[in-house]
Amino acid sequence: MKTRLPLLALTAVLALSPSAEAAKLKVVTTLSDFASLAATIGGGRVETDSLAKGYQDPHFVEPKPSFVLKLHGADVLIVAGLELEIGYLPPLLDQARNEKIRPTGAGYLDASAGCDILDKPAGQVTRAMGDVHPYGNPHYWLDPNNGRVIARAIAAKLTALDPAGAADYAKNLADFEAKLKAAEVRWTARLAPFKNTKIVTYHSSWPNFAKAFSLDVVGFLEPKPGIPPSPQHKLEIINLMNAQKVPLILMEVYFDRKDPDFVASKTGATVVVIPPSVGGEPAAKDYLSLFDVDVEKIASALEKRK
Amino acid sequence: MKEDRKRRTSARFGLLAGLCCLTLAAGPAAAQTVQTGNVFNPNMSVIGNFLGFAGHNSVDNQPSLQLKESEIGLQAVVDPYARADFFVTFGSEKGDVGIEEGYLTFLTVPGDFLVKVGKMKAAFGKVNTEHPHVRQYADTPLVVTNLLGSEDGINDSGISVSRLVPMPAEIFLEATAQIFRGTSDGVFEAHSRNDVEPLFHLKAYKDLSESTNLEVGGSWTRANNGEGAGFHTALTGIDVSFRWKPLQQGLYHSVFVRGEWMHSERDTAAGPTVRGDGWYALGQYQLGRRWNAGYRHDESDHADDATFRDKGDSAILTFLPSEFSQLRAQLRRIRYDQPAGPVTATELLVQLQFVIGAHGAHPF
Repeated sequence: MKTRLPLLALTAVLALSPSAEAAKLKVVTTLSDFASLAATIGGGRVETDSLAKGYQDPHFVEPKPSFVLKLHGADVLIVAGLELEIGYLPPLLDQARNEKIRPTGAGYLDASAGCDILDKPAGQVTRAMGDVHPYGNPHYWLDPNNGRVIARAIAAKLTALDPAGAADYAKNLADFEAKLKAAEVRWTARLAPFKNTKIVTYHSSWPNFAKAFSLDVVGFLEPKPGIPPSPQHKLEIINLMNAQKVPLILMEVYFDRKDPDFVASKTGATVVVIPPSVGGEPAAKDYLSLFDVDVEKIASALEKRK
Repeated sequence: MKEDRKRRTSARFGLLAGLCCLTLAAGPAAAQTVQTGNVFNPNMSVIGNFLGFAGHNSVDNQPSLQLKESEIGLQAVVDPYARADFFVTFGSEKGDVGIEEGYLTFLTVPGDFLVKVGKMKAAFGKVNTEHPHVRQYADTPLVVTNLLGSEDGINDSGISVSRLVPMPAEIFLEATAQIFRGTSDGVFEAHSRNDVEPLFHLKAYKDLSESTNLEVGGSWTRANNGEGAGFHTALTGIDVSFRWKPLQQGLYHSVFVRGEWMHSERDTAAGPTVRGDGWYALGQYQLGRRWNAGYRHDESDHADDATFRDKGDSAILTFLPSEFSQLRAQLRRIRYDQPAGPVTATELLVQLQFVIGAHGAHPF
């Protein structure tokens, strides 16, 4: 009996200490939006980290060696897919020495699966179209219903990797879906008076957002994806905006204001700078508040014009 | 009876409908089969490097206009264990074809190792590992042409093993050991199978802040040189790179500074061991979304006679119409140290580079 007690204690310590520590799944995501969703679903059972910041252009992330370290220790990797990360993720994955999170690994999750993907180019794709994404527009997380699809996919992935947490993940997912449902009602109501408002955006980051909230994107400041506005194109956009009486220019937080301000000065439109991702500004601290911020900024800008 | 006929007709319709479905399905299915054939093809890309020279240079007399190098990249995953990368280059002269690199990378070796086998650019410093089209300038620094043999640098067949070394404070440390055949244009020459070239490289990297980072590397290698069996050249290198790129304004402004120093110790048949060194320092500032301005200073002894030291300065301006093309002007002045006395060459280099196809992302 005397000898058994310490032995038992030792076994207990051995059994408990790794499970208490190592049980936390390390989730690395390319975008902060997925990190936010993973933190919501995973709760205390996961640690999340995103490579790109919300105020950074997600197309141009540098493959820093520090990201290799993050990927090396990751249990789960959540990517946007649709070749959004093609400029930096493949060499990082090759150096990460982590089979789990390679596209064939159990820890890899392409968040675009099952989402409503827009702008899939029909016919032949060439780079004469600019930096076009042949599999469709990769900014799909800006549709709350896609957020729901992604959250479910994350819950399924976490459950598969950590079956012990299944109940937690299911509960967190249900809580999130309830909150999202309520929020969707709120957001839709807030933007309802501006249904079918014509807008121009800087980059084509907003087709899913526009579809979800019935806004009508009639043009872009970029003549083609990834090509900065040329004088000729600015003139065309000014004419288009004047002809169609477009009241709003939406721009992402990481672009230069000079061109949108110039176009606004010639058209009387309002420039609204909104974050396209979580963390794009301090108030957009998670997936739901990102929409709170974006919806409110658009609604109040349009309200002021009335 | 009536029922029976009805059933038969419906069965016939069913069969017809089924056939229709089959024929309809055959279209897309056939298309998919063709697609599958392409799916396993490697990613292909072609990079063109068109270079023009104006001015006078009696030491290194390049043609006025040339498609200096065309690189064809073929990259694909081989099987669940490895990927392969081939870069075939075509020079401007007839018959000037070579495998710039062609190697297999084993991605799933236990023990956190990354193993490469094939012909590759040796992990000696930074510039030696870069393909010409990722450089911030149109030419090759003098230290490479003088101490590493030619503008191709150390590029040989061999095996590379690298491993991440766990470090505190989120420091990235990678140790690389390579072994090469020991023959690389102008610097190493293997006279027997035992004349292999070992190479060691250590790379440390740290994010100083979200927008700044510092990378420091050290390299060493030694192998037989062209003087004959038993004569060696040992090379040591140190490289330092600093980057500033604010994440939110990163599309428009950034700073890149790099310095690289190399030391060569070369046995000669005619006299004592020649000890020479060389370095370059590069600074680049991104002026706007599509514009970069840079400056590079070069200095290097001659590997076979360190009493001669060439020096150069370059001012560089780059315009990037898109991610896939760039136009560059480089005003270069080099003072070549020659036995007959110094020769100064002032030249304007104009370079147009472009890529078509799916060229994989480049290492940082």
